[in-house]
Amino acid sequence: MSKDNLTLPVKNTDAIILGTLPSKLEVVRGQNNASDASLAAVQDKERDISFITPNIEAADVHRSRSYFKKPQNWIGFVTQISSDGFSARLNDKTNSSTSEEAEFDLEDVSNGDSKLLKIGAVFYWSVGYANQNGQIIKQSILRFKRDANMSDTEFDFLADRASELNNNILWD
Amino acid sequence: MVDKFLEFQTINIAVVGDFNPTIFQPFWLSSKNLIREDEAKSANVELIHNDIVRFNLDWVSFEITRNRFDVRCTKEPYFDPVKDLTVGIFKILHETPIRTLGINHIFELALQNEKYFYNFGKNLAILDLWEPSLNKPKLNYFEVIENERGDGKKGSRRVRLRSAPERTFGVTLDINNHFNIDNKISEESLVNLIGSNWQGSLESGHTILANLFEKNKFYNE
Amino acid sequence: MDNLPTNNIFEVSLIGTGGGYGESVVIHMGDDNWAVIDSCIDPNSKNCLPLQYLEAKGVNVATNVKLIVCTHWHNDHVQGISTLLAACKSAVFSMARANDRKKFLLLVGLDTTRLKVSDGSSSTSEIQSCFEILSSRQTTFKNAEQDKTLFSSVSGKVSASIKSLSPSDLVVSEFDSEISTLISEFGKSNRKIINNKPNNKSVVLLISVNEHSAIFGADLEVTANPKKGWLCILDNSTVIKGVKAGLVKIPHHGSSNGYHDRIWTEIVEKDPTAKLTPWNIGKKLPKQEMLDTYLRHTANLFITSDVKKSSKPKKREKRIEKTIFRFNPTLREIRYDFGIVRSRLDLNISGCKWKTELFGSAKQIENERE
Repeated sequence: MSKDNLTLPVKNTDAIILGTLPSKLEVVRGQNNASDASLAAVQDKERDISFITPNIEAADVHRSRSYFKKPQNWIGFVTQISSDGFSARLNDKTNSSTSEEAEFDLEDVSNGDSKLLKIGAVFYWSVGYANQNGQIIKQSILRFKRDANMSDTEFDFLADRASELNNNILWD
Repeated sequence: MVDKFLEFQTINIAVVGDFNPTIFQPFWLSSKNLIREDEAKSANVELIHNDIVRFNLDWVSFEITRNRFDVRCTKEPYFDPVKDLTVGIFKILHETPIRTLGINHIFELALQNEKYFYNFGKNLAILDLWEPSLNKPKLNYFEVIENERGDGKKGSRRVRLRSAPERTFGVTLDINNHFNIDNKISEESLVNLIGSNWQGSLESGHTILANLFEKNKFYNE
Repeated sequence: MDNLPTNNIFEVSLIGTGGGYGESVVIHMGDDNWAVIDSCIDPNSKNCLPLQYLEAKGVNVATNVKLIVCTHWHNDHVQGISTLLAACKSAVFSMARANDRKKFLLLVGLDTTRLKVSDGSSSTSEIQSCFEILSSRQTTFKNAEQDKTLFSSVSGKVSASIKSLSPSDLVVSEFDSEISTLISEFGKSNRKIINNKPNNKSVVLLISVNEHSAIFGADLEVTANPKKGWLCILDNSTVIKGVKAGLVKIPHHGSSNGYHDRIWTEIVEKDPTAKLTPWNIGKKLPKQEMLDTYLRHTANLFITSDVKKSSKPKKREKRIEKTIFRFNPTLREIRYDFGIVRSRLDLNISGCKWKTELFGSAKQIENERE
């Protein structure tokens, strides 16, 4: 273990070369002010020096081989819930003209999302072909939308705005 | 026409500011209900260090350094969840000083044959200028900048094209949609920037690609 | 469709979208005075249909639309209403009364803000936009409640008024508690605020022009509690006493919840002109037995478009259609079906009856047994 107190990656790794890491990071740290897509794009030179081990580079490539080819995507919200499923109204994300409706089974909802299934809950639904490391798979993915709770600052701002509107509107 | 040559696309959100990378860990995300608990349990953690954190879930990769937050996704069904995740993170960390935002769209193309591949580059840059100084010149990398955004916001757009040797006749089109953020402590401005520009950014990325194919008729020559 | 009605024409046009994208009523009360009840959109163009209707007729919407009423903030009644209000610069805006206005504004603001970082459109964002317009414009907001005059005008031979017959005091005070509960329950959470039973708070309107009256039932239902809903109007409204409306916009898409025999015997004249819009999402309305019930009261029954017996999926690329069918064969389109039922009567002709014309998918409902 190096004196840098690094936490080692956990999977698929034998030895990690750590000695040169701090100096490489020093180079990257102060200079990357662009919002480009990858560190590599901005700091090609530093990237070429593999300060992160080849295993992680391989993981990069591995990740890039999992993708979808032109899926059909919707955003929907739950309109009714029954004992074995729910109904929803959906909007096609690529062609937002008329809406659609459909019924879904409870089995379509991942365990981790089950608490999010409520009337009015928003979810994303996609169907299409996925490429997972060269293997083509037909998939349907349903995922409920998650968002952080409103902060106190935001809530106070809205309360102030409501007050302002209340004062400005000419109520009869 | 685009569909014929488009393999897949990647979305990347990059935020430049001042961060403490060790905050960003899978269980922290699930504790805030931003991801599922089982996703946190099965996360592939590559590195956790005071200066850099790197981990990935099935659908998103994270890399955070002291001054850069970077998430990336290659699975289109998860593009909106990535946006939600980023917004959620910065709503919670609303006191984080932030300077710039990049919503980046990377289109991975495969141009099918050598003729198309060569013509694509030839139509972007006048390769004849380099002959006979260079032997059989080919375009390897190309960059165009829009200095001032057309929508009145502070920032710019940059388009880069490069050959992608990892794919046969591969070309990568990388569109950087860059926003400067005035208010340094900017939960509201970052969250609103992402929220109000997300859909437009996705659409403009596709428009740039479609227009490029419309004007660069490499497939007709 | 022909152009502007002349000053002596009382016109009521019910605009329907097929039961998925809202409904609206556009009214000419004579003398170039216009009012609009609710709003709806064309889902393809996103155009506000009542605004489009008025502009196509050549109405000067900035000056001649005098009142816009939002009968309740259900999504199918408010789509495009902020666009309408923005264009109708002289219009007074009216909605059901909320006693604690600041809390109501906060509730609407909370829900709208949640949606700013999402892709959802919602009734609350439309209402929020309306409040922002009213705030900057400094024009009057009229609270709608039982027996309240929202508009009146006397000019030459034409005397017109619009009165709200609901919601009742009990409904208003229940809504005030509901607002507090919704704020504390949903507050800072990221869940969409669910508005329970907005139909209870529906604003029913009585429009009178000279000796003629029309009732617009919104989505108000009949409840067991006589201090709410239609029974409260029938038992307690003073403005409705002695009125016999010659035209009725049937409440709640002709559902049985919106029907009470007393409405048709006490405040509606025999054989009136009656019109309604369908509901085609989930359960379909109106049901045939309700149409038969209404046909017992009038032969002049009109609907803006058919109730769809079944719906098909949207047309897509073959490979996508196959994939969708494999994973969820229940997916179907909520079709847009535009129709207008327009009724007119001439105020200069004594005893004039309503004449109705149909446009788009609108049709007359006839007694099938005859």
